[in-house]
Amino acid sequence: MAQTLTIDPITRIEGHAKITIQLDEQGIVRDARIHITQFRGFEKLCEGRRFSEMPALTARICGICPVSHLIASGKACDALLAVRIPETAEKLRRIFNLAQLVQSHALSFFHLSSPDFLLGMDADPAVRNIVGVIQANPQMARDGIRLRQIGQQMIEWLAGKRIHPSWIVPGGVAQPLSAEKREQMLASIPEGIDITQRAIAWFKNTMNQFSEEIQTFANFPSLFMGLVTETGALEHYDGVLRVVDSAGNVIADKIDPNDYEHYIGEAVEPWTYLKFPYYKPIGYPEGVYRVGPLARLNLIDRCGTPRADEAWAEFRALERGAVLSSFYYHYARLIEILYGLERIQQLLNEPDILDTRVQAVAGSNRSEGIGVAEAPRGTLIHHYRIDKDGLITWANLIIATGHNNLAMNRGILQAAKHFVKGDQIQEGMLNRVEAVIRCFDPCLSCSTHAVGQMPLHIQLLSPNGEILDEVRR
Amino acid sequence: MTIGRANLPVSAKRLGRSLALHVNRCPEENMTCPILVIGYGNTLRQDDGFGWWVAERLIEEPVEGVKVIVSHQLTPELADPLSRCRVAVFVDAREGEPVGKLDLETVTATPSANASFTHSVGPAELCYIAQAVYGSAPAQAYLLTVRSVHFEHKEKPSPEVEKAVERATAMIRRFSLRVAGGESPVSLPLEGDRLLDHHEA
Repeated sequence: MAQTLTIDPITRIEGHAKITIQLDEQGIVRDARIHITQFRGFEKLCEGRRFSEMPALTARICGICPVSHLIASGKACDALLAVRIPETAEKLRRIFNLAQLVQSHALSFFHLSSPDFLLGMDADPAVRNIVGVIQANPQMARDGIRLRQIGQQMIEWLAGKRIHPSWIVPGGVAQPLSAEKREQMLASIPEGIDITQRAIAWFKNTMNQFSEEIQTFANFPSLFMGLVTETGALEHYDGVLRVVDSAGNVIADKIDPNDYEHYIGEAVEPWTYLKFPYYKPIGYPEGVYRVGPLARLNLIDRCGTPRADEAWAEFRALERGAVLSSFYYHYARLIEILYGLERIQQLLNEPDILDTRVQAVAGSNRSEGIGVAEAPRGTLIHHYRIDKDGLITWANLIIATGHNNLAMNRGILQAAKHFVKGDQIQEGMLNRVEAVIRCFDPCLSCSTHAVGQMPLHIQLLSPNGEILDEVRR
Repeated sequence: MTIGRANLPVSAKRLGRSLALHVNRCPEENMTCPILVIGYGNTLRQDDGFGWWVAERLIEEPVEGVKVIVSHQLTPELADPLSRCRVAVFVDAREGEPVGKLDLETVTATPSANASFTHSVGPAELCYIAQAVYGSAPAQAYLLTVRSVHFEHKEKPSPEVEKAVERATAMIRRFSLRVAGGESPVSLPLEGDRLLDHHEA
């Protein structure tokens, strides 16, 4: 008898989702899907609002990555103004974006995923959490908290507050950086770098305990997409889009982010609220691509900072072509933290970083604006159209988690086929399926504007909906 | 605190987001304060903003020796300031009736049995993290919550919770003044504190 195994909701991700695993008559996994069960609709809410409100408004989509929305929205508004923002403003925005990346990646690695690494995928869920991390490795717990503090504090020093700051404005930023804050930020960076290097060393030694997970966690050929600089270095704020294949070959390069619609399509399915972006030249659903830290490190020719370049070279040596296993998202996240801290240090030492000219002032000069930036989880696209009064008539937001939707679904099917046996519900087995999703660090708050968090609920259902087995935690 | 239980504070239960806007009112970032007030919730979800509004009132009219943190959720890094205070007061909203009634409970540092740790923790677990990671937890900790059933997409509180904000702010202010004044031992609620509004009592 065919059965459906449901994991609802998935835990330790941002937002709310469930997984269903369809078994055949022999109890073998036939299909697996991640369902995003809440509706976003945020674009519709934006219609009729003044475009200048968009950075602050769209930042409310998410409390984890409001900075990313501020950046992409600010850039889309810059395009509507048709201005080039002051160089210092751009540098300050870059620092802001990277500080966000540091704190968000720290949250993902240390708080959400390290319980799996430290305590094992089969550990009792009652201890596989932050408290378990504290007991097993207090230094790591302290490091995670401290690293997140550093990123959060930088955001606050720049913007006055950590959450939903209104510091990013169309045309630049609202206030310049003070010398005092610059010194405070610079002073915190060496400790952050030490923590990150310690974590990288630890993770490199620990990875070999997870060879089965590395082999089976969304480890398949796909495309990778993201921003790079004009010269192919790591880029999170501006630059051009690049696409590489699984062999590491560049198949599209120097794509103007304003042309994203020529390369990215969005498909919908009736069983989930999250859309399925795909690479248009290949089509749907074959046009699977991944974004985020793993993709970014697969795209680039170098990071552009010394320590991160060294770590990146080791990372790329894991495989001949692109690094394909999504388990390595965790590794890539740590390298990006290192890059972020080093790059912030470089930017803070730029001679004009304290310049007080940080905003270009203008009215709306275009009816359409696109802003693209790299959020911690991948490429973030804000696209607005306005009327003659500057009111939004149409908005489209493509969120990093959405780009990864096809890959996440393919990934859980791969993991489910390997780990799930239909006649047994075992904690470690199900956690591995969930852990595939956590590799991508999906932000469902962003991608669906969902709120809510519930305990894990797993149901084994017969074809007629009868509950054959059930687990709650 | 086990996330998902029906009687949990709403912001711990319903939000899928980790936020931490900290508004420090001690002179130095790392300075030890006798009292730490952490008001948390989501101001976009009507009465769930209760903790946030109480904290903002305390910031508007500061009390010496009181550090106030406004946050959308409790996150592990709050263990750091928590380890440097003598008394902690967590302020939140919870689902329940009568709307506007305040509930006060003491918090004991305890590792949570909750398996589904995401980015947020509860007050008891946060105190535990403060003790385990930084070697110190508040000697006294309270969770002050307001009951409500109004958690729609609105930015203004219900009339009952609006009144509760006033009562809770007055309660914390009176308590803080006595603790900061060196009076000991002092515990919440103080004589005269009203957990219910006159009209509801």
